Amino acid sequence: MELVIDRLSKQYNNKIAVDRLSLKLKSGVVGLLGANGAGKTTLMRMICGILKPTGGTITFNGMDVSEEMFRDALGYLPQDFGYYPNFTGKEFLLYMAALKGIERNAARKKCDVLLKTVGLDHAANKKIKTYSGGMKQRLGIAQAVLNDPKILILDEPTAGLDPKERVRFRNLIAELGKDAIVILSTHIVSDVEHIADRILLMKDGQFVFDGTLDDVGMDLEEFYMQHFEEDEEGEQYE
Amino acid sequence: MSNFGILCKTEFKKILCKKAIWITLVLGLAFILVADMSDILFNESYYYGDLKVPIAQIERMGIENSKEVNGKPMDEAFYERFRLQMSDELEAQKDNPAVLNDPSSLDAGYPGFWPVAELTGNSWFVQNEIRRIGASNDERYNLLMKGSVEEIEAAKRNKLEINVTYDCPKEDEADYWMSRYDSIPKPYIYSYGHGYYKYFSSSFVTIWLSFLIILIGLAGSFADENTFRTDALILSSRYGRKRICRAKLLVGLCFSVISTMVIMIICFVIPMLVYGAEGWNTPVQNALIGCAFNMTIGQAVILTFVFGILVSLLWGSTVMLLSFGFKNIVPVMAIHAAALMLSVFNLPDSMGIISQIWALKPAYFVYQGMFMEYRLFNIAGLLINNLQMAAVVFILVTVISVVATARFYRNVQVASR
Repeated sequence: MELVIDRLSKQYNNKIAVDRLSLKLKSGVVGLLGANGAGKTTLMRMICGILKPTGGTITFNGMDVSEEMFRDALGYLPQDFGYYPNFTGKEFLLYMAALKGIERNAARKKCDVLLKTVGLDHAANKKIKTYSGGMKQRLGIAQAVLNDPKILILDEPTAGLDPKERVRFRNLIAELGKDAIVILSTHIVSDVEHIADRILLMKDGQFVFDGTLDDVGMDLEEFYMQHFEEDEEGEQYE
Repeated sequence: MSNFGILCKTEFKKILCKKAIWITLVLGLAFILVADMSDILFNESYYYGDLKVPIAQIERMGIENSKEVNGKPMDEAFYERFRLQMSDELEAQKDNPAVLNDPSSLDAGYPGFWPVAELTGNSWFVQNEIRRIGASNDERYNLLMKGSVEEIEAAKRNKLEINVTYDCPKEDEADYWMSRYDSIPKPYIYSYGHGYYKYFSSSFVTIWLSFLIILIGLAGSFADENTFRTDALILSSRYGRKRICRAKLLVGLCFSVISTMVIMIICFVIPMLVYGAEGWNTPVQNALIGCAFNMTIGQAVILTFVFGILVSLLWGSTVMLLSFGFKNIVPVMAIHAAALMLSVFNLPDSMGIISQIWALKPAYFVYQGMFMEYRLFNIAGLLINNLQMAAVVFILVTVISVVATARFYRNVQVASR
C-alpha cells in the first residue's frame, strides 16, 4: 500500500499553492502541519482527486487518483464538512454509503455501528440541523470511515470537539492508521504529537520538514512556532 | 434497492423537502381554479330586466341542450333545430323589453339575439360559430339564422383562408393549411366543446405553474451541493462522478415530467367535471376555432400532454445545466424567469425567420395558440409546421443539455470557496 506524489504543483493565476511536491507514503498516520494558506487543503483536495493539479502525478498502488477504484479506497473529511440540514444523521450516512457503493444491508449495519462509535446513536433519527458543531464533526468522521478506507484524509477532524472527544478520536485515528494511510491536517499540534508516525510541515506550498517526532528533537509546538516566527519576521521585512 | 435506487430516492427527497414547491403548487392550483371557474364558483349572473340568469345555469342549459345533438352532423336539421329554439324563446320573451333591447344584439337587426341564445343553452354554440364566419355582425347573424349548411361552411372556409393568407405570405404555406382543413369530413360533427375550450385556454397558466415548480425544484439540483458544501464529499466517493450525475439527471427529468403531468391532469379534469367531457372524438374546431388541423379534440388534448412532457423535459434539463454551470440558484432562477417574461412578447412577422424561431418559445406550447400558428418552416423544400419543428427542437435541446451536464460533471473540481 503506497501513495506516491511526484512533482505535484498547483497554481491559481499568479499564486503557486503547491510547489513541485514529491512524497511517498505508507500505512500509518501522517500529521500535516502548516499555517493558513500553506497549501495543505489544496494538497489534500488533489490527493482526493477533486482538484486537478497543474503538474505532476498522484498514484495509489499504481492507480491514478482520478479512477473510480481509487475513490473506493478513499475516506475524506473536508475542512468545511457539508451536510443536508433536513436529513437525519442516519439518512445522511445511508446516502453516503450508497455513494461509496456499500450494499444496502451492510450499509445499515455499518451505519448503526459507526453512529454508536461516534456517540450519535441517540441522535441518529434527528435532523442534522439540530446537531451541535461537535455532533456534526462526529458525523463527518463517521462518513469518512464508512467504507473502511485504505487511505483516509482528515482536514481538521478534531476542530469543534471538546477535549474528551478529541482524545477519543485521536485514539480512533491511531487505530485506523495501523491498516491505512491516514493524512491528518490540523492546527492542534498536540494531536499530531500524540498519534502521527510521520510529520510534514508545509510552508508556501512546499514541505519544510519531513520526519518523525524524534527527528524534530524538541517540543513539536515550539518547533512549529519557530517556523511561524520566521514567517512573521519575513513578512515584517517585506 | 440498489445503490443507484437509493441515490435516486435521496435526490427525490432533496427536491421534495423544499417547502416552496408545495406552497407554490397549492397557491397555483387555487389560482387556476378560481380564474377558470370564478363565474360559477362565485355564482355570478346575467340580468335582463327582472330576469336573472346565473352563469352556472347557462352552462347547465348548454350541456343539457347539446345532449341531443352531440356527435351528430351539423346539417340542415341541426341548424333548423337551433333556429326553432331561438324563435320560440324570442316569442316567449316578447314582453320582456330588457331582452329585446339588449344592446349587444340590436346592431345586427336581431333583437334579443344574445339573451335568447343564453336562455336556450345555445350561447357557446353561437359564440363558436359566429367567430368562424362573416366579416360583420349583420353577415354573421344572417348566415347563422338563415344561411344554408353549404353557405355557412363556405363562410367558415373563407374566414380561415383570410387568416391563413394574412399570416402566410407564401402561397404554398396557405395551400398546406387549406388542404388540411379541406380534408376534415363535412358537415362537421358537433359537440359541446366548452370544457375542452376552457382546458386549452387555461393551459397557458398551467404551464407557467409547472415551470415555477420545475425551477424551484431543480435550480438547486447541482448548485445546492456547492451551497451546502457537500460537493467535496460526493466527488470523492466511488459513485460521486458518474452514477450520482445520472441519478440527479434522471430524477430531475422525472420530477419535471411528473409535476407537469400532475398539474395538467388536475387542470384538465376540473373543466371536464364542470362543463362535461362530450366530444373527445369530434373535430377540434368544436373547441378551437381557427384551427386548420384535421384532428379530433382527443388528439389535440393528447398533443398538449405530449408537448407538456417535451416542454417539461426541456425546462428540467436546462435548469439543471445552469444549476451545474453557475453553482448558485440565483442566476439560474433569474435567467429562466427573464426568459419566461420575455416569452410573453411576440416578434413581428416582418422579422421573418427570427420571429418564427421566437414563436417556438416553450411556454407557447401546451396552449391553444400552438394549434393556430400558421407559419411554416421551409427546410430544403419540405414544409414543417410549428408543432413538428418544436418537437424536434425541444428534444434536441434537452439531449444537448443532458449530455453537456453529464460530460462537464465528470471533470468538475472543488476549488477554493
